Amino acid sequence: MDTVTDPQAAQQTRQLIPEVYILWHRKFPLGHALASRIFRWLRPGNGFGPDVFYRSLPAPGADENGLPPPLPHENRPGTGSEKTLMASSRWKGSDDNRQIVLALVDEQLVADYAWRHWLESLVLPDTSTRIVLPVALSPVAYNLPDKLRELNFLRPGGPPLDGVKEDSDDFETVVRSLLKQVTEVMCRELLPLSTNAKAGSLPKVNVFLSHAKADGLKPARRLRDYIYSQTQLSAFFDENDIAFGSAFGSVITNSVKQGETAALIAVRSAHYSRRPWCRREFSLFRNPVEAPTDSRNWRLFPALIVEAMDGRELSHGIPEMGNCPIIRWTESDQTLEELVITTLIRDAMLASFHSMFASSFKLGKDELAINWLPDPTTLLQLAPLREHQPCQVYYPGRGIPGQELDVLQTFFPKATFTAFEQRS
Amino acid sequence: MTALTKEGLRRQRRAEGRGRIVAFSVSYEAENLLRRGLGLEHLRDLMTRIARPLLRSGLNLAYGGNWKKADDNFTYFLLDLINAELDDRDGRDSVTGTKLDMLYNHSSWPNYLEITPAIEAQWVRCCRIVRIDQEMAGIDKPERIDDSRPSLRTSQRKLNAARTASAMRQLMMKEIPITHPAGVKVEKIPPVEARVALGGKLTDYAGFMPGIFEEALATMQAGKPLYILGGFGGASEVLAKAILEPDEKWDKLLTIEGQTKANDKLANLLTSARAPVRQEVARLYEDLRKKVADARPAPEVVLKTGLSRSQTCDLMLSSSISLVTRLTRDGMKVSLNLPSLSP
Repeated sequence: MDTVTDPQAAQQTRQLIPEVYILWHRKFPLGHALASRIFRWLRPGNGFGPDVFYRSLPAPGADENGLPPPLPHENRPGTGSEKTLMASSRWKGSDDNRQIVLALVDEQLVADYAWRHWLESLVLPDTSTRIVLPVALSPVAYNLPDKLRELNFLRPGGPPLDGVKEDSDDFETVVRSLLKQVTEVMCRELLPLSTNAKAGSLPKVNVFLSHAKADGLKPARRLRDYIYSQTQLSAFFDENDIAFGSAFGSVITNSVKQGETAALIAVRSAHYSRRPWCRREFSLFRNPVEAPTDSRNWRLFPALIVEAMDGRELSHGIPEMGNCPIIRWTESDQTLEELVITTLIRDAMLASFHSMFASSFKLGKDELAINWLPDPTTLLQLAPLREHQPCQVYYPGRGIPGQELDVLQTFFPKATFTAFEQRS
Repeated sequence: MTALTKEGLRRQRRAEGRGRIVAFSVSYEAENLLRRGLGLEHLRDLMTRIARPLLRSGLNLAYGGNWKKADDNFTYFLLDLINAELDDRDGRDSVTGTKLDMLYNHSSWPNYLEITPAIEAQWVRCCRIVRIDQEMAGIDKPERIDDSRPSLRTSQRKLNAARTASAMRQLMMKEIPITHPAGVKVEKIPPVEARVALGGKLTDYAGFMPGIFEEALATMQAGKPLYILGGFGGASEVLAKAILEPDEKWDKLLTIEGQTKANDKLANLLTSARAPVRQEVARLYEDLRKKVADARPAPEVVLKTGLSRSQTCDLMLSSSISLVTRLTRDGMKVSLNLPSLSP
């Protein structure tokens, strides 16, 4: 993998705001559909996630067989003024951004001299400002020029894409595998590196599986087995129903201090809400922590709720779960654990991205930034809000709906809530 | 930080909009966007970033889209956006009594015949479907097509459809009174106060000219602010370029000859039209060219953007969503007098 191996340099690279460019040849029939799925995965709505742009068709007015518009700061002869008005990141000047280029490589792209040449020119010796990640979507993808062949390709599984239709199961299989690999690579690029990391090591992610043993172990075990067999994540699983306990809070705090990432899956079965330790675990996990370098920058690690109630079982909601995402468990779905884990690490990547972005703010005395969508339960953990101090809260995305804002302002009448995008 | 309470702040913001209407003439053309490195997802992003602050400032939206379930249909997208802002307590502007959080869906004959009562009933709290029929378009009785048999007299039907669409674009800019059965108060649909134009078909359209041209013309004729986001291609780009970068290439597209060449449907329509209608169409094109020429020396004045000249040029040419959304909001703050308008 074409990554920065010096930990200090890697951390500095992580200070740059990433933006993603998806490239595909104009004659690749499934290119647009694949790009659109990647977009929706990396930007799951409401302005969350890094900016994603496309490059496929030639720019307006260019030769019909020409190349797409250049990337920001790309030196390509014959391109001129359109650069300044072309779509680019909403966050900052592009000088401050790091380009992550996903090239969807099919045979059309390999066969096209101009595209091969262009892709080759995008590979920079210094990966701190741009990293190129080719995605092999054809057996001939590896016939790209040497400079690209040396890179590690993403290799989505599934059948060959020749003749595959967008609405087919085969296409979905390829998409699923592609999104999983894109998520892993994005995590590698965006998640913080542990302060103890050695050169070339990967970001550490600790996944906690919280569940009520009284309801059985099936979903939790399947998730744990998947983590052990298919990922490089660490799983904490209380097989004997011994709660993670009070040490749990310090594990999370230490994770932040050491630059590691924690993530929680709560298997919400019928008894979950009636198990005090389950709730305690969840509650502790949803306790925001300060960023090591800035006491006004608050972080929350991602949690995902797996809804595993059977048949007509009745249970209660848990206020601590706030606006956590929920996914329904279906025992017969053989690939569900993959979706759960991939979603969780995608959310870890998004949380890290938003923390990274918030750390670029110069916050005043009465201001604080959070890396999650605000909800009363989590915000009540923050002293300035709990104590009704006048406070300006910045949160990710482009803004929450008016109905949710109303609820927040009822809870915190002296606080004002501003989305990251509203701030810029 | 303001000393106003939450309700006070909300009321203040909503009082600025007073239920006035901002229309969106936006269409998705995949190729135009892809050439600029963008897709449908970016267009949705743009719509949200412009529409939501308007709703929060008490403005209503108008969008003349159809009701077919499709990814690129912004009717449902805008309705979802509005639904998330609905507030029963502030349902009406206290001065004018105008309903807030509304989408006005102007629909011309025969398009509205496809809107079922089930659709209308489902969205009735946040959407007013405004039907523009053949009579409202000034079509004489003998020429009208019976609603129950819209598939008959094909060429006459197409002509009437084009005439009602054309009339709708003019009527939108005025208050539309709608009479109901005796005993029910006459309903008044407020006029469109500003328009955002993006994309737009340049071929295969069913009217007398590209819809964006006609809507832009009606907006300029009514002296209302017009935000032409030309950096995303389509008919909006032609308008923006014709104003800012005059060239024969663009001027040609503002003529009947240029358009009939590009669109067989228009040629057929004009063949089936009687002389007064043809003259009316010729005048439309003439008016459009005149308005474009008027806008050349000072686009920010004629388009009433509320922006400086250079900002107006950026707004009209840029493909950067963040730039055009910011400029549109900044412009409307001034042109519609909305001091609290923020993202």
